[in-house]
Amino acid sequence: MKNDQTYNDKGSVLVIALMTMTILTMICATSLYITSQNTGAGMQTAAWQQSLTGAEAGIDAAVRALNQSGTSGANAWTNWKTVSGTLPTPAPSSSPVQGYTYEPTGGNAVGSGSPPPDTSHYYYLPSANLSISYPNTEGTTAVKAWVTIDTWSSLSNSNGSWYRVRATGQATFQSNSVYKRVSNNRLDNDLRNTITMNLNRKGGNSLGPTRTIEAILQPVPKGGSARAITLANWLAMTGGGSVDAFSSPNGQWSSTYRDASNPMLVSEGATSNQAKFANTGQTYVYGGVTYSGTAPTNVNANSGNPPVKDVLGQVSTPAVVSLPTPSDPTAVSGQSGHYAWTYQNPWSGTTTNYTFNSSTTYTGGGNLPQNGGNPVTSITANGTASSPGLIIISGDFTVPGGNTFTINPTTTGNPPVANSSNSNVIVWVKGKFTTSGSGVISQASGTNVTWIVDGDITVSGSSYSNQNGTAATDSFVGIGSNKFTDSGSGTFVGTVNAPQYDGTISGSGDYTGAFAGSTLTISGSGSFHYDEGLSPSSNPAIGNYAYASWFEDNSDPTHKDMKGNYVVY
Amino acid sequence: MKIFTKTQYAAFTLTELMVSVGCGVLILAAVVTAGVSLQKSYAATEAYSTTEGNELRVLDYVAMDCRRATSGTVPGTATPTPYVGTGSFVSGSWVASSSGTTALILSLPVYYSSTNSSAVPNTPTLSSGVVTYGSGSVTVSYQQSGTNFTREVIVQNSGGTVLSDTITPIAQNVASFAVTDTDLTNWISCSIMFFPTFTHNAGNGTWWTGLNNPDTAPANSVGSNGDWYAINGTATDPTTVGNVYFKSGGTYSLVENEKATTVACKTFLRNASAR
Repeated sequence: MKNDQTYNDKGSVLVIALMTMTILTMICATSLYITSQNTGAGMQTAAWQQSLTGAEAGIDAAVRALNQSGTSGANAWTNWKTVSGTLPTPAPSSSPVQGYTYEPTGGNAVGSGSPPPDTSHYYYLPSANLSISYPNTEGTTAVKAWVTIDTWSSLSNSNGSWYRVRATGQATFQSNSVYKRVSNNRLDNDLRNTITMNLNRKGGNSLGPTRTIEAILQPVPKGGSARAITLANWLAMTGGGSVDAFSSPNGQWSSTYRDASNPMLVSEGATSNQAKFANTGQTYVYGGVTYSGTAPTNVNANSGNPPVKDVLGQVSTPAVVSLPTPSDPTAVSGQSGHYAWTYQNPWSGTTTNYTFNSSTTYTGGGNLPQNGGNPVTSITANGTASSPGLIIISGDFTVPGGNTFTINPTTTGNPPVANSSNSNVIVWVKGKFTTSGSGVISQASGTNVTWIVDGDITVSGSSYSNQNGTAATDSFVGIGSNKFTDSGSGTFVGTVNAPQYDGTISGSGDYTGAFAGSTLTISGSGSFHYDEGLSPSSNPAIGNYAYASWFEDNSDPTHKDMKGNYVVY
Repeated sequence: MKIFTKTQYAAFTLTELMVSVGCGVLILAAVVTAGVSLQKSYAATEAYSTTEGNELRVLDYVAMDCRRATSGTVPGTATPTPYVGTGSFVSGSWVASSSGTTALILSLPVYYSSTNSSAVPNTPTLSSGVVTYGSGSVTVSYQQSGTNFTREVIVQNSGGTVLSDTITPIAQNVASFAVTDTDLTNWISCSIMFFPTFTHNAGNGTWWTGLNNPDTAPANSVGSNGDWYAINGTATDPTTVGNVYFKSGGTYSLVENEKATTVACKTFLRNASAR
């Protein structure tokens, strides 16, 4: 009995000790489990973010290739593959991850200098060319990405084809990874596209989260090509006017010929908080706006009842505005009155070299130009398109109130102008260009005038009567950093290419043509009509591609979330 | 002899008993203390893990939806999105209410053909010069509901009929939610404050916040003993934001070296049409 009692006492101590140790061990083990889950969730989060960087790298690779193919084209498509047919979506059921994360295979190398894919092919960049690995590390050991580019017939407008770029990034773990690298909270797995990984690990424990981005890229023509308003900086529309585009048989505006496809019209190279639309419940731009910098105020506004958008077309960014800087004619050394001038038209994209073997110079000032002390009330456009006449105003060009300055056509000249409807002259104003009060410039039908102005330009539709009615016949080229002002109630018909000018269009008169400058404020009720005949009819040179749409596909519709809803949005 | 022998083994002396009891108490105290500490550690670890997961999740959700947000209007109104307002959605339409909680409302492209297992991405088209996916609308709203942080997804067809309206609490223990509504043209700035439950387990106590505007230390009439209070981001003095108060003996007092956790994100709106 004694011995039994002694043994029982020792046994109780042992049992109590074991139970205590067991309880403490379980608590410790549970804590460690929670900690390990936390580690898994942390790795999942990190891998998810790394996958995003992979997908973004894929988008960047596609944008680089597209932009480069629009310039030199060399090396644009290095390592890219081309495959006939349409992009195969969704992924085959045998792929590790369902949905749209399927990496294409096969195809042929895209040739150097090739254009972007057409509607019967798609390009892809294999993940072998877009991967980074860091083996023997804890957590993610590699991130790979692949990207596809495709288009189709309905995804294009007058500027050219738009492209769908779909890039997927995926993180991978060590192949002998113990953990699934997923969270113990299903909310995390719903979000981070790992629900499939957790339930169906065809890729093994090494397969990590994926991120897929689908971007639509829009072609942006070079310089001012095919653009109503091209600005190095910003546009402010504060009045009741609007901007649209038209294409008419005679080059004259009529609402009948408004381009209803809402083409790209406004390009702002460096916006600031001055870029704006007034958002008064009306449409300001019957087309698209592209910009770089701060978003113009109300660019996305949608006010009124029923709601009306300020910008009807696509808003995109970035805008790479690179307007050629015009310069004055230069005197030919040793030959009095001889000049040379090189000019690049930002709308047509053509560059023309002019040589003037003679010129006429008048004295400028606060009144009409003077010739030997006598006022000059008219000039004659006495040249051809390739060899126009040159008239120099040595100072300000002013048409005071009550005066009329006329530009007439001719059939004479040297070389002779064959057709009076094609009489050309270039007028170089070395000072300001001003029409004031009731002063009028009357440009006769059949004449083509290019004004090279070294100072401020002040005109109005009422004071500049372009009887051709077409913008291509009246061109202002502004040199240096000055101001352009158009006011009044009459319609101004012409183009202004003054990349460093700050422009203002006020009054109730319309403006028909195009404008390229530094800034532009349209404060009046007059509207701006862009003549699409100023630009090439098709296939304008592409300056860059801008993002028209960006979407991150995070779906897994083959599974339900913790609330029983399919993982879609 | 046997009796004497038994007597020798029958009991401890008083001294032996006291010593043994003392040792036993010490050992038990150590075991209990260790157990309690381990349990506290476990609870704190679990709470920390949960909180960290909540914080990362809300940031990832908000950032992702902001990046892919596009232009649209708040359902039931002509208000452009992104939009920040107070109120709630009722049957898919927004009902503004000055007494409601702050909501961040975003529009997403109608990227998917449906919201069930047959969903596939819609093919984008150019419609009047604008890229569009499917018809209808997809609206995502982030809002605080009690101490939960919810994400509501409303899918409507082109006629405005609500096809699905799901509300998912994506985080718990949320004290406050703030969005900088003056900066929605390019960026969306959000901050979400979480109660620091992993340091101070609330037990049966209740967490309070935002009862003052600007927020300050709570009045002693608030709640009951054992309750907690965290100063939210409306406080005039930014150094007091996140301060934690504990009520004991009918009085709230500042808990030293303790702050509520605030996570924030500033996300660029990738889609120019959303700006």
